[in-house]
Amino acid sequence: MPAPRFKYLKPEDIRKLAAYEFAPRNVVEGYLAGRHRSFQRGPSSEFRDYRQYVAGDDPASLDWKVFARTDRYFVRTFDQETDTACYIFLDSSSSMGFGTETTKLEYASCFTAALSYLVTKSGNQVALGIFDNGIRSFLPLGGTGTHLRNIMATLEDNHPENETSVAEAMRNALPMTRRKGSIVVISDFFDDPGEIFAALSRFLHRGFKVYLFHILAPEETLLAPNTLRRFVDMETGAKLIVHPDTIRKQYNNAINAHIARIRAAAVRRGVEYSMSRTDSHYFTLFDKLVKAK
Amino acid sequence: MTLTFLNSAMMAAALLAAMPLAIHMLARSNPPTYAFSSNMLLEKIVRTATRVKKPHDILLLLLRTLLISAIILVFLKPVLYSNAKMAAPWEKRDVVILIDASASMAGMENGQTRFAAAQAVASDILMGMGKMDKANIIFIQAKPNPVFPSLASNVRFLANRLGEASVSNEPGNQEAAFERAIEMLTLEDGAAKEICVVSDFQKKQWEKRKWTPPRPDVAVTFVKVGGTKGDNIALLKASATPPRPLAGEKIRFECDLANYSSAPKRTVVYFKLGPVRNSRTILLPPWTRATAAFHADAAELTLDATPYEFSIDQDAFPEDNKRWGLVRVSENIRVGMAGALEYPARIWRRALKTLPWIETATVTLDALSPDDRLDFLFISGWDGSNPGKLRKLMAAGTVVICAPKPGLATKEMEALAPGEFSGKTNAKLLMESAQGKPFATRLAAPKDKIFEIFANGRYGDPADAALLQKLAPMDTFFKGEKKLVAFSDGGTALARCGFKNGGTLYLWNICLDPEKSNFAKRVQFVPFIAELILKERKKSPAELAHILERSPGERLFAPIDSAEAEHGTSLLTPTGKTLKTKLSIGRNAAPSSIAIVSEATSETGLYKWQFDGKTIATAVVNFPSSESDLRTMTIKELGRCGDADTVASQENAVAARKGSSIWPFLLALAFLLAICESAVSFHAEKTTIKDNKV
Repeated sequence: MPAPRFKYLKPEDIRKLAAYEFAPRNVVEGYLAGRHRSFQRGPSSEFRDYRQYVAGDDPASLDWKVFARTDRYFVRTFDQETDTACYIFLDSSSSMGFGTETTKLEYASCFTAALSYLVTKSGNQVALGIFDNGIRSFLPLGGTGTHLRNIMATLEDNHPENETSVAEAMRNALPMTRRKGSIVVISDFFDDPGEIFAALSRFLHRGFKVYLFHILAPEETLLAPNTLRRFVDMETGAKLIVHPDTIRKQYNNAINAHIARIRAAAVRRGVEYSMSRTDSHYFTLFDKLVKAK
Repeated sequence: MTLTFLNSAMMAAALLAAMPLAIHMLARSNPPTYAFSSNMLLEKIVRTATRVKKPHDILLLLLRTLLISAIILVFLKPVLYSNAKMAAPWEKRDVVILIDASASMAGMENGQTRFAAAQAVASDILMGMGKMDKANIIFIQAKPNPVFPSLASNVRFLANRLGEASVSNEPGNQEAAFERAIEMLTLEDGAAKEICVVSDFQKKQWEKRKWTPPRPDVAVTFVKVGGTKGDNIALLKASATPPRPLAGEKIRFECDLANYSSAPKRTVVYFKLGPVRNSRTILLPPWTRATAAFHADAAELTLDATPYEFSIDQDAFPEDNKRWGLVRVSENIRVGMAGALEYPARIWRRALKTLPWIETATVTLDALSPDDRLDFLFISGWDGSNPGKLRKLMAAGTVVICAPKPGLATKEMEALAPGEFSGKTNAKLLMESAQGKPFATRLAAPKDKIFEIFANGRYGDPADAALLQKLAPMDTFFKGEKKLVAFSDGGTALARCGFKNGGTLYLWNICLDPEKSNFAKRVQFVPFIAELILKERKKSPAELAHILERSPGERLFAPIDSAEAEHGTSLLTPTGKTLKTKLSIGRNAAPSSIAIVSEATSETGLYKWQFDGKTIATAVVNFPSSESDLRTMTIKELGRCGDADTVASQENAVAARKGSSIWPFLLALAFLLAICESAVSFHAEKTTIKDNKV
């Protein structure tokens, strides 16, 4: 039976993803046994230490070899391995619709689809939140193939609209994230970095590992047009007549400074940050999040 | 100031001046739309950049607008008029050009005469005339000399006449020329009218001009040619004293010179009288006058008029370096005797008879005429008759010695000089006899010219006499009266009255009756009478007729006995040419009622009237001394006088009339603006690059 065809998850991408494994770099809290180390001790192959047998312990956990040597009952304990939760929040505001060949939203959707696939393939659970200036839709955690298909369908039905407010969206998303895990925010972050990180700090306090993926179009970094243009803000509709040639350098400086501010704030708060342009392949973003087999 | 565009057809192009602004506005208002993800950063940048860019943009916009405006204005050919009355180039014009052709215009400056410069200016003005314009030229001379009798369109002919014209030796009559120009313009209708005066504006002549301001619609332009100084040494006057010497009398020839320059000048004055030649070196301080005197004996001269000549060394203005005069030795002085009283007539006659150089004739006042050419008229007992005739005689130069008749009302004296009478009472002059003591006479003005030879006392006192009768009351009758001999009680015995018309009247109140007076019995009496005649004779008409100086431009008169004498009479100019003449009868201008009058003279020197090949009279035409001072009014002074709407120098004459073309300045401005625009653009670009590097 041929694999279903998704707009944002191509078979060739699936083939490439086979070489990757979802491995967030912190300990997670989960209910299902999985590949991720947990603070809870439980049956697993990772030995932790020995302790005195007490009534009620499973006799199967007794280490008979130690009893034979010491004539005492010791029980071996192991670190419990569990599945991890990955919450992906995809910015779908109007500004994400910008881009000539590939819009930022398409690029981000491809990355989201690939990440979701990778997470579920690794036996972990993934949730998807679509936001603009609030949470527009949310698919709770799931790790099944059906869940993955739902994610793909959601992404395909998604369109850029409304203004961006990452901070507001993250504040709204907080109650939806019951399990600790990873928070992946994919956006162009045309918002005040201070407010964004103020909103994300709550996740950090709760022990979430936060990943920020900053997606920009090459036209945004280079200010592509060369002649006088009326720039229309895709989110607000505000108009501004500018000759790009005259301000290109200032703009470049400004956007670099904006990126630098986000990056610096991320470093200070232990947030993983990665920026990518839509003219590069989204696989480069996995460097922060997954590891090669 | 009026601004006019010669190329007004291109006025629509002026709209192009708004091009930069329009491009700016259009470019700003409708650029292609570009949907951009977020203007957040752009707005921040623009807010900062606009603060710097906007002044640049506005300055560039301004410079570009000005640049295009300047270029458009260059093509519109703007002309600036200083005179609002001046016709615009497209208007029909009536122009009268008054060109000063007076003698001072012969002054040389920068290698050309002032007149040549005036010709050039006038030629430029004529060249600028349109086909519909009318013009005329009037040369300012002693008598205005127009080319056409009225304005005409034949500018080419005017130009030809202008080229052929030459400066005259005449003084200029500006007032007459100006009036003639106004007359000509008054005949024309429906065009802009202009009088353009091209002259050196010689200070001496133009400062005292008095002319009626033209109609307000007539624009008056003064174009000054020549400088303001004009160094010159001039002979101003040549005279002989006495002008008509009696045979054997010594003659003093005098010549007045002037140094019209700011430097002292040395010159040699040459004198020539027949075969007599003499010279004298004179040093003239700056701006001064001097007199050179030479003496000659009248015995050497004939009874015919003998010309004499003064000359000086050549200078830059040679026209006034020569001067001529005539001196004629006279056999006698003509004295007329009139009046009914026996005394003092008998005594006067007896005294005059002792003087061989006096010719006495008995005349009656009724039959007297100026043609009698009396030098003196003695009236014994004037009864108030013919005062008008006496007035005319005195004005013509006859000195009247009048002894009023007893019973004459003092008010009747007023008729001799109306307006100058100062008598306070209207009493009758009555003969008053001395009661016991006789009336003594004494000199009231011992230093008067008629008592000159008595001053040293060698000839006694001319007034020391005793009289038994006198007329009374003899007050001061006229304003210009001078008491010469007075009675001891202060009454007038002899007084001289000088009138404004130049006439001289002696009021005689000295009783000469031998039984009632010893005045005539004294030895001083005849010398006194002789001195009175000799000292007063300068003004006598017979002399004036010969010493009368004429200036170029004036006509010469030759009195003749009958109209038939006209045929065969001709006038030879100093250069030997023959001047046209015609008969003049009853003209006041001529000293005689029948005379031959010549056409206007032009040359200076000796003119000879000839009849049948013989010289019957000689006349002298001298350079007008008023033209020798070549100093001129400055443009500032001319502007202050207010007679002209526009005052221009030779250099900017055309511009003043036709307006100043300002396109060269606009072109220069356009270049300047282009440079400024480049500089500002460069600076703006540099600033942008610098900002970008940051």
